[in-house]
Amino acid sequence: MKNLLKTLPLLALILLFTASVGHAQGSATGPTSVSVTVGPEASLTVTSPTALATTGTVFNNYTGTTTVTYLIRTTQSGGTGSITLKVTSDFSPATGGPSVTTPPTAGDALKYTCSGAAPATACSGSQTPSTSTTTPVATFGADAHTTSASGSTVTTSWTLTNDPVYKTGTYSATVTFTISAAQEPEHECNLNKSKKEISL
Amino acid sequence: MGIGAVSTSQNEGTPINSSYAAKPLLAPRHDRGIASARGVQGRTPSLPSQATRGGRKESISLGSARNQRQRKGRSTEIAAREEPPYCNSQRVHREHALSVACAAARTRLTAAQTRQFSLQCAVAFMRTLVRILKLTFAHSLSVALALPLVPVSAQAQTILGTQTLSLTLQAAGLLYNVPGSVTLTHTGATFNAFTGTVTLQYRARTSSSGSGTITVRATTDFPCASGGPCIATPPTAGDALKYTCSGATLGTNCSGTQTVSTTASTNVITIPAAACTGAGTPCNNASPNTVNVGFTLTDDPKYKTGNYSATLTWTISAT
Repeated sequence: MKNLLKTLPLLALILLFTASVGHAQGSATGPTSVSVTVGPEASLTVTSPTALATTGTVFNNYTGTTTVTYLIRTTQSGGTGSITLKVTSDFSPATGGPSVTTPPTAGDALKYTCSGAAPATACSGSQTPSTSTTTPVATFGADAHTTSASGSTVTTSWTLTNDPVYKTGTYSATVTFTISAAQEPEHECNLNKSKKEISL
Repeated sequence: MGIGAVSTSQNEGTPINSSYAAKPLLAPRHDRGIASARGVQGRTPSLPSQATRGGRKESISLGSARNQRQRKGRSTEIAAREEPPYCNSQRVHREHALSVACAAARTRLTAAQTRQFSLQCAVAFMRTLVRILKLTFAHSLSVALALPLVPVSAQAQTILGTQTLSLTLQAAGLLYNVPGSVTLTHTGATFNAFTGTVTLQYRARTSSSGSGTITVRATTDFPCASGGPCIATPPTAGDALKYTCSGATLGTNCSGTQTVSTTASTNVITIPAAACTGAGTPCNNASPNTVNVGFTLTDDPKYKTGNYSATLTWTISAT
Protein backbone atom coordinates (compact mmCIF):
# COMPACT_ATOMS: atom_id res chain seq x y z
CA MET A 1 0.00 0.00 0.00
CA LYS A 2 2.81 2.41 0.87
CA ASN A 3 4.60 1.53 -2.35
CA LEU A 4 1.43 2.11 -4.31
CA LEU A 5 0.96 5.53 -2.77
CA LYS A 6 4.52 6.39 -3.64
CA THR A 7 4.20 5.15 -7.21
CA LEU A 8 0.88 6.73 -8.11
CA PRO A 9 2.12 10.34 -8.39
CA LEU A 10 5.02 9.24 -10.59
CA LEU A 11 2.70 7.25 -12.84
CA ALA A 12 0.39 10.22 -13.15
CA LEU A 13 3.29 12.43 -14.15
CA ILE A 14 4.47 9.93 -16.76
CA LEU A 15 1.00 9.59 -18.24
CA LEU A 16 0.61 13.33 -18.41
CA PHE A 17 3.94 13.76 -20.24
CA THR A 18 3.22 10.85 -22.61
CA ALA A 19 -0.15 12.25 -23.43
CA SER A 20 1.28 15.64 -24.23
CA VAL A 21 4.02 14.17 -26.47
CA GLY A 22 1.72 11.78 -28.23
CA HIS A 23 -0.63 14.54 -29.30
CA ALA A 24 1.60 17.48 -30.33
CA GLN A 25 -0.12 20.76 -31.01
CA GLY A 26 -0.46 21.70 -34.66
CA SER A 27 -0.71 25.19 -36.02
CA ALA A 28 -1.73 26.94 -39.19
CA THR A 29 1.64 28.68 -39.49
CA GLY A 30 5.19 28.02 -38.38
CA PRO A 31 8.54 29.86 -38.63
CA THR A 32 11.88 28.49 -39.75
CA SER A 33 15.13 30.44 -39.40
CA VAL A 34 17.43 30.08 -42.40
CA SER A 35 21.05 30.79 -41.55
CA VAL A 36 24.27 30.79 -43.57
CA THR A 37 27.94 31.44 -42.79
CA VAL A 38 29.78 33.22 -45.58
CA GLY A 39 33.51 32.66 -45.39
CA PRO A 40 36.60 33.64 -47.42
CA GLU A 41 36.84 31.91 -50.80
CA ALA A 42 38.95 32.18 -53.97
CA SER A 43 39.10 30.50 -57.33
CA LEU A 44 40.74 31.13 -60.70
CA THR A 45 40.88 29.94 -64.24
CA VAL A 46 43.72 30.51 -66.75
CA THR A 47 44.04 30.40 -70.50
CA SER A 48 46.19 27.50 -71.56
CA PRO A 49 48.39 26.89 -73.35
CA THR A 50 50.29 30.11 -73.72
CA ALA A 51 52.41 30.15 -76.85
CA LEU A 52 55.67 32.10 -76.80
CA ALA A 53 56.61 33.60 -80.13
CA THR A 54 59.23 35.88 -81.50
CA THR A 55 58.43 38.84 -83.61
CA GLY A 56 60.30 41.62 -85.17
CA THR A 57 64.02 41.55 -85.30
CA VAL A 58 65.76 38.21 -85.65
CA PHE A 59 66.71 36.68 -82.32
CA ASN A 60 64.25 39.00 -80.52
CA ASN A 61 63.04 37.44 -77.29
CA TYR A 62 60.12 35.11 -77.29
CA THR A 63 57.03 36.72 -75.70
CA GLY A 64 53.54 35.71 -74.62
CA THR A 65 50.78 36.53 -72.08
CA THR A 66 48.71 34.49 -69.68
CA THR A 67 45.37 35.82 -68.40
CA VAL A 68 44.24 34.70 -65.00
CA THR A 69 40.51 35.07 -64.22
CA TYR A 70 39.73 34.85 -60.55
CA LEU A 71 36.95 35.10 -57.96
CA ILE A 72 37.90 36.07 -54.47
CA ARG A 73 36.35 37.03 -51.13
CA THR A 74 38.60 37.80 -48.21
CA THR A 75 37.61 38.25 -44.59
CA GLN A 76 36.24 41.62 -43.66
CA SER A 77 38.82 42.16 -40.96
CA GLY A 78 42.43 41.01 -41.23
CA GLY A 79 41.86 38.95 -44.35
CA THR A 80 44.44 38.58 -47.13
CA GLY A 81 44.79 36.86 -50.48
CA SER A 82 47.34 36.23 -53.21
CA ILE A 83 47.98 34.78 -56.64
CA THR A 84 51.39 33.16 -57.18
CA LEU A 85 53.04 30.94 -59.77
CA LYS A 86 55.72 28.31 -59.95
CA VAL A 87 57.35 26.40 -62.81
CA THR A 88 56.31 22.93 -61.86
CA SER A 89 57.85 21.36 -64.97
CA ASP A 90 60.88 22.77 -66.74
CA PHE A 91 61.17 22.95 -70.49
CA SER A 92 61.22 19.62 -72.22
CA PRO A 93 63.04 18.11 -73.89
CA ALA A 94 65.67 19.01 -71.41
CA THR A 95 68.62 19.08 -73.76
CA GLY A 96 69.41 21.55 -76.47
CA GLY A 97 66.64 24.05 -75.75
CA PRO A 98 65.71 26.62 -73.11
CA SER A 99 65.79 25.73 -69.41
CA VAL A 100 64.52 27.52 -66.32
CA THR A 101 66.81 25.64 -64.03
CA THR A 102 70.07 25.46 -66.04
CA PRO A 103 70.00 27.81 -69.00
CA PRO A 104 72.63 27.00 -71.63
CA THR A 105 73.97 30.51 -71.45
CA ALA A 106 74.19 32.57 -68.26
CA GLY A 107 71.57 35.25 -68.53
CA ASP A 108 69.10 33.14 -70.48
CA ALA A 109 65.89 33.28 -68.49
CA LEU A 110 62.18 32.99 -68.55
CA LYS A 111 60.76 36.16 -66.98
CA TYR A 112 57.34 37.76 -66.51
CA THR A 113 55.62 40.97 -65.52
CA CYS A 114 52.14 41.39 -64.01
CA SER A 115 49.21 43.70 -64.63
CA GLY A 116 45.73 43.81 -63.20
CA ALA A 117 42.98 45.94 -61.68
CA ALA A 118 41.36 46.05 -58.24
CA PRO A 119 40.75 44.24 -56.08
CA ALA A 120 44.14 42.80 -57.05
CA THR A 121 47.46 44.48 -56.52
CA ALA A 122 49.66 43.20 -59.38
CA CYS A 123 53.29 42.22 -58.83
CA SER A 124 55.78 44.96 -59.55
CA GLY A 125 58.74 44.79 -61.91
CA SER A 126 60.10 41.76 -63.78
CA GLN A 127 59.83 38.46 -61.98
CA THR A 128 61.92 35.37 -62.64
CA PRO A 129 59.95 32.18 -62.11
CA SER A 130 61.51 29.30 -60.34
CA THR A 131 61.11 25.60 -60.27
CA SER A 132 61.70 25.54 -56.53
CA THR A 133 59.70 28.47 -55.14
CA THR A 134 56.55 30.43 -55.95
CA THR A 135 56.75 33.94 -57.22
CA PRO A 136 54.03 36.58 -56.83
CA VAL A 137 51.48 37.56 -59.40
CA ALA A 138 48.92 39.55 -57.33
CA THR A 139 47.99 40.24 -53.74
CA PHE A 140 44.68 41.10 -52.01
CA GLY A 141 43.85 42.86 -48.76
CA ALA A 142 41.01 42.51 -46.23
CA ASP A 143 37.40 42.52 -47.42
CA ALA A 144 38.43 42.06 -51.05
CA HIS A 145 35.63 40.98 -53.35
CA THR A 146 35.39 40.18 -56.99
CA THR A 147 32.94 42.71 -58.32
CA SER A 148 31.68 40.70 -61.23
CA ALA A 149 30.12 37.31 -61.16
CA SER A 150 32.19 36.43 -64.17
CA GLY A 151 35.34 37.19 -62.20
CA SER A 152 38.25 39.62 -62.31
CA THR A 153 41.54 39.20 -64.18
CA VAL A 154 45.28 39.64 -63.85
CA THR A 155 47.75 39.20 -66.72
CA THR A 156 51.29 37.81 -66.74
CA SER A 157 53.50 38.82 -69.70
CA TRP A 158 56.30 36.31 -70.45
CA THR A 159 59.67 36.83 -72.08
CA LEU A 160 62.19 34.14 -72.94
CA THR A 161 65.68 34.82 -74.20
CA ASN A 162 66.10 33.76 -77.88
CA ASP A 163 69.57 32.20 -77.51
CA PRO A 164 71.16 31.06 -80.77
CA VAL A 165 72.57 28.15 -78.77
CA TYR A 166 69.08 26.69 -78.61
CA LYS A 167 68.60 23.83 -80.98
CA THR A 168 65.54 24.00 -83.14
CA GLY A 169 62.44 22.20 -81.91
CA THR A 170 59.34 22.57 -79.77
CA TYR A 171 59.81 22.95 -76.04
CA SER A 172 57.19 23.09 -73.29
CA ALA A 173 57.17 23.95 -69.58
CA THR A 174 54.36 23.87 -67.04
CA VAL A 175 53.54 26.85 -64.83
CA THR A 176 51.08 26.49 -61.93
CA PHE A 177 49.11 29.49 -60.68
CA THR A 178 47.74 29.42 -57.15
CA ILE A 179 45.13 31.74 -55.62
CA SER A 180 44.38 31.83 -51.89
CA ALA A 181 42.21 33.75 -49.46
CA ALA A 182 42.90 33.57 -45.74
CA GLN A 183 41.32 34.90 -42.53
CA GLU A 184 44.77 35.45 -41.06
CA PRO A 185 48.12 36.19 -42.57
CA GLU A 186 48.85 33.37 -44.96
CA HIS A 187 49.18 30.08 -43.21
CA GLU A 188 49.26 26.68 -44.78
CA CYS A 189 46.31 25.41 -42.77
CA ASN A 190 44.00 28.36 -43.47
CA LEU A 191 44.57 28.83 -47.16
CA ASN A 192 41.70 28.45 -49.54
CA LYS A 193 43.64 27.52 -52.58
CA SER A 194 42.96 27.01 -56.19
CA LYS A 195 45.54 25.90 -58.63
CA LYS A 196 45.71 25.93 -62.36
CA GLU A 197 48.47 24.86 -64.69
CA ILE A 198 49.49 26.22 -68.03
CA SER A 199 51.89 25.05 -70.60
CA LEU A 200 54.36 27.43 -72.10
CA MET B 1 -14.17 15.35 61.00
CA GLY B 2 -17.17 17.12 59.62
CA ILE B 3 -19.93 14.97 58.44
CA GLY B 4 -17.80 12.14 59.33
CA ALA B 5 -18.88 13.06 62.78
CA VAL B 6 -21.44 10.38 62.36
CA SER B 7 -18.71 8.00 62.74
CA THR B 8 -16.79 10.19 65.04
CA SER B 9 -19.28 9.11 67.58
CA GLN B 10 -17.11 6.17 67.81
CA ASN B 11 -14.20 8.29 68.64
CA GLU B 12 -15.89 10.46 71.23
CA GLY B 13 -15.37 8.14 74.01
CA THR B 14 -17.91 5.57 73.07
CA PRO B 15 -16.11 2.37 73.27
CA ILE B 16 -16.47 0.26 70.32
CA ASN B 17 -16.26 -3.32 70.67
CA SER B 18 -16.31 -4.33 67.15
CA SER B 19 -14.70 -6.84 65.05
CA TYR B 20 -14.28 -4.20 62.53
CA ALA B 21 -11.71 -1.65 62.93
CA ALA B 22 -14.05 1.26 62.90
CA LYS B 23 -12.27 3.75 60.86
CA PRO B 24 -13.21 7.36 60.45
CA LEU B 25 -14.16 8.62 57.02
CA LEU B 26 -10.88 10.43 56.91
CA ALA B 27 -8.95 7.24 57.14
CA PRO B 28 -6.08 6.89 54.72
CA ARG B 29 -6.85 5.31 51.49
CA HIS B 30 -4.74 2.30 52.08
CA ASP B 31 -6.66 1.62 55.28
CA ARG B 32 -10.06 1.97 53.80
CA GLY B 33 -9.70 -0.59 51.08
CA ILE B 34 -12.85 0.73 49.61
CA ALA B 35 -12.97 -1.81 46.90
CA SER B 36 -12.90 -4.56 49.42
CA ALA B 37 -15.31 -2.97 51.91
CA ARG B 38 -18.56 -4.67 52.46
CA GLY B 39 -21.15 -3.79 49.96
CA VAL B 40 -18.72 -2.29 47.65
CA GLN B 41 -16.62 -5.25 46.73
CA GLY B 42 -15.45 -5.32 43.14
CA ARG B 43 -16.52 -1.81 42.38
CA THR B 44 -14.31 0.99 41.13
CA PRO B 45 -13.36 3.41 43.79
CA SER B 46 -16.57 5.21 44.44
CA LEU B 47 -18.23 5.96 47.60
CA PRO B 48 -21.60 4.30 47.55
CA SER B 49 -24.50 6.21 48.81
CA GLN B 50 -25.75 3.07 50.37
CA ALA B 51 -24.03 0.42 52.32
CA THR B 52 -25.03 -3.01 51.42
CA ARG B 53 -24.72 -6.01 53.62
CA GLY B 54 -25.85 -9.27 52.51
CA GLY B 55 -28.08 -7.70 49.94
CA ARG B 56 -29.94 -5.66 52.52
CA LYS B 57 -29.57 -2.00 52.18
CA GLU B 58 -29.16 0.06 55.17
CA SER B 59 -29.33 3.76 55.24
CA ILE B 60 -27.30 5.93 57.45
CA SER B 61 -28.80 9.10 58.68
CA LEU B 62 -27.09 12.26 59.69
CA GLY B 63 -29.42 13.28 62.43
CA SER B 64 -27.97 14.62 65.58
CA ALA B 65 -24.84 12.79 66.09
CA ARG B 66 -24.97 13.24 69.82
CA ASN B 67 -28.57 12.12 70.15
CA GLN B 68 -27.89 9.23 68.00
CA ARG B 69 -24.97 8.32 70.12
CA GLN B 70 -26.89 8.58 73.29
CA ARG B 71 -29.88 6.68 72.13
CA LYS B 72 -28.24 4.01 70.23
CA GLY B 73 -24.97 3.35 71.66
CA ARG B 74 -25.20 -0.30 71.00
CA SER B 75 -26.64 0.21 67.61
CA THR B 76 -23.71 2.38 66.99
CA GLU B 77 -21.52 -0.46 67.98
CA ILE B 78 -23.48 -2.75 65.75
CA ALA B 79 -23.38 -0.20 63.00
CA ALA B 80 -19.71 0.08 63.46
CA ARG B 81 -19.51 -3.65 63.16
CA GLU B 82 -21.88 -3.99 60.27
CA GLU B 83 -21.50 -0.85 58.21
CA PRO B 84 -18.74 -0.28 55.78
CA PRO B 85 -15.76 1.01 57.63
CA TYR B 86 -15.94 4.42 55.97
CA CYS B 87 -19.57 5.00 56.99
CA ASN B 88 -20.88 4.46 60.39
CA SER B 89 -24.18 6.01 61.37
CA GLN B 90 -27.73 5.27 62.44
CA ARG B 91 -30.26 3.53 60.27
CA VAL B 92 -32.56 6.56 60.04
CA HIS B 93 -31.69 8.59 57.07
CA ARG B 94 -28.90 6.23 56.64
CA GLU B 95 -28.81 6.43 52.96
CA HIS B 96 -28.89 10.12 52.89
CA ALA B 97 -26.32 10.38 55.60
CA LEU B 98 -24.23 7.87 53.86
CA SER B 99 -24.44 9.66 50.61
CA VAL B 100 -23.69 12.94 52.26
CA ALA B 101 -21.03 11.35 54.37
CA CYS B 102 -19.66 9.64 51.45
CA ALA B 103 -19.91 12.80 49.47
CA ALA B 104 -18.17 14.61 52.25
CA ALA B 105 -15.65 11.93 52.51
CA ARG B 106 -15.30 11.98 48.79
CA THR B 107 -14.91 15.67 48.97
CA ARG B 108 -12.29 15.55 51.62
CA LEU B 109 -10.79 12.17 51.70
CA THR B 110 -10.96 11.30 48.10
CA ALA B 111 -10.11 14.54 46.52
CA ALA B 112 -7.08 12.95 45.10
CA GLN B 113 -9.08 9.86 44.37
CA THR B 114 -11.78 11.94 42.78
CA ARG B 115 -9.26 13.57 40.51
CA GLN B 116 -7.84 10.21 39.69
CA PHE B 117 -11.28 8.78 39.26
CA SER B 118 -12.29 11.71 37.12
CA LEU B 119 -9.13 11.36 35.10
CA GLN B 120 -9.60 7.65 34.71
CA CYS B 121 -13.23 8.09 33.83
CA ALA B 122 -12.24 10.77 31.34
CA VAL B 123 -9.62 8.53 29.80
CA ALA B 124 -12.08 5.69 29.60
CA PHE B 125 -14.62 8.01 28.08
CA MET B 126 -12.18 9.27 25.46
CA ARG B 127 -11.10 5.79 24.58
CA THR B 128 -14.68 4.79 24.12
CA LEU B 129 -15.30 7.86 22.01
CA VAL B 130 -12.31 7.12 19.83
CA ARG B 131 -13.46 3.57 19.31
CA ILE B 132 -16.90 4.81 18.37
CA LEU B 133 -15.44 7.31 15.88
CA LYS B 134 -13.19 4.70 14.34
CA LEU B 135 -16.02 2.31 13.92
CA THR B 136 -18.20 5.05 12.49
CA PHE B 137 -15.54 6.25 10.04
CA ALA B 138 -14.64 2.77 8.92
CA HIS B 139 -18.23 1.97 8.41
CA SER B 140 -18.85 5.18 6.52
CA LEU B 141 -15.75 4.69 4.37
CA SER B 142 -16.66 1.17 3.56
CA VAL B 143 -20.13 2.34 2.68
CA ALA B 144 -18.69 5.15 0.56
CA LEU B 145 -16.36 2.75 -1.21
CA ALA B 146 -19.02 0.18 -1.59
CA LEU B 147 -21.54 2.55 -3.06
CA PRO B 148 -19.72 3.01 -6.39
CA LEU B 149 -19.38 -0.74 -6.62
CA VAL B 150 -23.06 -1.20 -6.44
CA PRO B 151 -24.05 -2.15 -9.94
CA VAL B 152 -26.00 0.49 -11.73
CA SER B 153 -28.33 -2.19 -12.65
CA ALA B 154 -29.18 -2.46 -9.08
CA GLN B 155 -31.20 0.73 -9.62
CA ALA B 156 -34.15 0.93 -11.86
CA GLN B 157 -33.65 3.09 -14.97
CA THR B 158 -36.19 5.31 -16.57
CA ILE B 159 -35.85 6.49 -20.14
CA LEU B 160 -36.53 10.21 -20.07
CA GLY B 161 -36.17 10.84 -23.79
CA THR B 162 -33.89 10.64 -26.82
CA GLN B 163 -31.54 13.15 -28.41
CA THR B 164 -29.86 13.17 -31.77
CA LEU B 165 -26.16 14.05 -31.88
CA SER B 166 -24.85 15.59 -35.08
CA LEU B 167 -21.35 16.58 -36.09
CA THR B 168 -20.20 18.77 -38.97
CA LEU B 169 -16.56 18.32 -39.90
CA GLN B 170 -15.00 21.45 -41.30
CA ALA B 171 -12.09 21.58 -43.66
CA ALA B 172 -8.87 21.99 -41.71
CA GLY B 173 -5.11 22.01 -42.09
CA LEU B 174 -2.35 22.10 -39.49
CA LEU B 175 1.45 22.06 -39.52
CA TYR B 176 3.31 19.94 -36.99
CA ASN B 177 6.86 20.01 -35.68
CA VAL B 178 7.93 22.84 -37.98
CA PRO B 179 11.76 22.90 -37.88
CA GLY B 180 12.91 25.90 -35.94
CA SER B 181 16.01 26.40 -38.05
CA VAL B 182 17.96 25.19 -41.08
CA THR B 183 21.60 25.94 -41.90
CA LEU B 184 22.70 26.35 -45.48
CA THR B 185 26.17 24.92 -46.10
CA HIS B 186 28.72 25.15 -48.82
CA THR B 187 29.94 21.98 -50.47
CA GLY B 188 31.92 21.06 -53.54
CA ALA B 189 33.67 23.58 -55.74
CA THR B 190 34.51 27.06 -54.58
CA PHE B 191 31.62 29.49 -54.84
CA ASN B 192 29.10 26.69 -55.26
CA ALA B 193 25.65 27.63 -53.97
CA PHE B 194 24.77 27.13 -50.30
CA THR B 195 22.19 24.38 -49.80
CA GLY B 196 19.90 22.98 -47.09
CA THR B 197 16.68 20.93 -46.73
CA VAL B 198 13.56 21.27 -44.57
CA THR B 199 10.96 18.52 -44.02
CA LEU B 200 7.45 19.72 -43.18
CA GLN B 201 4.77 17.67 -41.39
CA TYR B 202 1.12 18.47 -41.89
CA ARG B 203 -2.43 17.15 -41.63
CA ALA B 204 -5.27 18.36 -43.81
CA ARG B 205 -8.86 17.73 -44.66
CA THR B 206 -10.53 19.43 -47.62
CA SER B 207 -14.16 19.54 -48.57
CA SER B 208 -15.61 17.86 -51.61
CA SER B 209 -15.33 21.10 -53.55
CA GLY B 210 -12.43 22.71 -51.74
CA SER B 211 -8.64 22.65 -51.80
CA GLY B 212 -5.61 23.30 -49.63
CA THR B 213 -2.15 24.78 -49.88
CA ILE B 214 1.09 25.13 -48.03
CA THR B 215 2.98 28.31 -48.83
CA VAL B 216 6.14 30.01 -47.62
CA ARG B 217 7.20 33.62 -47.31
CA ALA B 218 10.30 35.33 -45.98
CA THR B 219 8.87 37.33 -43.09
CA THR B 220 12.35 38.55 -42.09
CA ASP B 221 15.07 39.14 -44.68
CA PHE B 222 18.82 38.70 -44.26
CA PRO B 223 20.47 41.84 -42.92
CA CYS B 224 21.01 43.33 -46.33
CA ALA B 225 22.86 46.36 -45.00
CA SER B 226 25.60 44.10 -43.75
CA GLY B 227 26.69 43.26 -47.27
CA GLY B 228 25.65 39.64 -47.14
CA PRO B 229 22.87 37.85 -48.99
CA CYS B 230 19.61 39.70 -49.39
CA ILE B 231 16.27 38.37 -50.58
CA ALA B 232 14.59 41.67 -51.33
CA THR B 233 17.57 43.45 -52.97
CA PRO B 234 20.34 40.98 -53.80
CA PRO B 235 23.77 42.51 -54.47
CA THR B 236 23.85 40.91 -57.89
CA ALA B 237 20.91 40.36 -60.16
CA GLY B 238 20.29 36.67 -60.11
CA ASP B 239 21.33 36.18 -56.50
CA ALA B 240 18.40 34.50 -54.82
CA LEU B 241 17.17 32.13 -52.14
CA LYS B 242 15.38 29.43 -54.09
CA TYR B 243 13.74 26.13 -53.30
CA THR B 244 12.35 22.97 -54.84
CA CYS B 245 9.67 20.66 -53.44
CA SER B 246 9.65 16.87 -53.39
CA GLY B 247 8.12 13.84 -51.75
CA ALA B 248 4.72 15.24 -50.76
CA THR B 249 2.59 12.38 -49.32
CA LEU B 250 -0.61 14.40 -49.71
CA GLY B 251 -1.05 16.91 -52.48
CA THR B 252 1.13 18.00 -55.38
CA ASN B 253 4.69 19.34 -55.03
CA CYS B 254 5.48 22.82 -56.27
CA SER B 255 6.69 22.78 -59.84
CA GLY B 256 10.30 23.56 -60.73
CA THR B 257 12.40 26.05 -58.79
CA GLN B 258 10.63 28.65 -56.70
CA THR B 259 12.16 31.91 -55.50
CA VAL B 260 11.49 32.98 -51.93
CA SER B 261 9.95 36.41 -51.63
CA THR B 262 9.51 38.85 -48.79
CA THR B 263 6.35 40.32 -50.29
CA ALA B 264 4.34 37.33 -51.44
CA SER B 265 3.82 33.75 -50.39
CA THR B 266 5.02 31.13 -52.81
CA ASN B 267 3.57 27.68 -53.26
CA VAL B 268 4.98 24.53 -51.67
CA ILE B 269 2.18 21.98 -52.17
CA THR B 270 -1.37 22.03 -53.46
CA ILE B 271 -3.97 19.77 -51.80
CA PRO B 272 -6.91 18.64 -53.91
CA ALA B 273 -10.59 18.47 -53.00
CA ALA B 274 -11.94 15.70 -50.77
CA ALA B 275 -8.49 14.97 -49.43
CA CYS B 276 -7.63 13.87 -45.94
CA THR B 277 -4.73 12.71 -43.84
CA GLY B 278 -4.58 9.20 -42.52
CA ALA B 279 -3.70 5.60 -43.19
CA GLY B 280 -6.34 3.32 -44.59
CA THR B 281 -9.65 4.16 -46.21
CA PRO B 282 -10.62 6.78 -47.28
CA CYS B 283 -7.40 8.81 -46.97
CA ASN B 284 -4.90 6.11 -47.86
CA ASN B 285 -1.77 8.04 -46.97
CA ALA B 286 0.52 8.67 -44.04
CA SER B 287 -0.22 10.56 -40.85
CA PRO B 288 1.17 13.09 -40.60
CA ASN B 289 1.90 13.90 -44.21
CA THR B 290 5.35 15.19 -45.16
CA VAL B 291 7.04 17.17 -47.90
CA ASN B 292 10.72 18.00 -48.43
CA VAL B 293 11.81 21.51 -49.36
CA GLY B 294 15.38 21.97 -50.67
CA PHE B 295 16.89 25.47 -50.49
CA THR B 296 19.75 26.97 -52.51
CA LEU B 297 21.38 30.34 -51.98
CA THR B 298 23.73 31.90 -54.51
CA ASP B 299 27.30 32.16 -53.23
CA ASP B 300 28.08 35.57 -54.59
CA PRO B 301 31.71 36.70 -54.14
CA LYS B 302 30.25 40.08 -53.36
CA TYR B 303 28.90 38.78 -50.06
CA LYS B 304 30.95 39.99 -47.21
CA THR B 305 32.10 37.30 -44.84
CA GLY B 306 29.94 36.71 -41.75
CA ASN B 307 26.84 34.93 -40.41
CA TYR B 308 23.45 35.82 -41.78
CA SER B 309 19.90 34.68 -40.97
CA ALA B 310 16.42 35.14 -42.41
CA THR B 311 13.04 33.87 -41.19
CA LEU B 312 10.63 31.93 -43.35
CA THR B 313 7.00 31.45 -42.33
CA TRP B 314 5.05 28.45 -43.54
CA THR B 315 1.26 28.65 -43.84
CA ILE B 316 -1.24 25.90 -44.43
CA SER B 317 -4.86 26.46 -45.41
CA ALA B 318 -7.76 24.22 -46.37
CA THR B 319 -11.27 24.81 -47.61
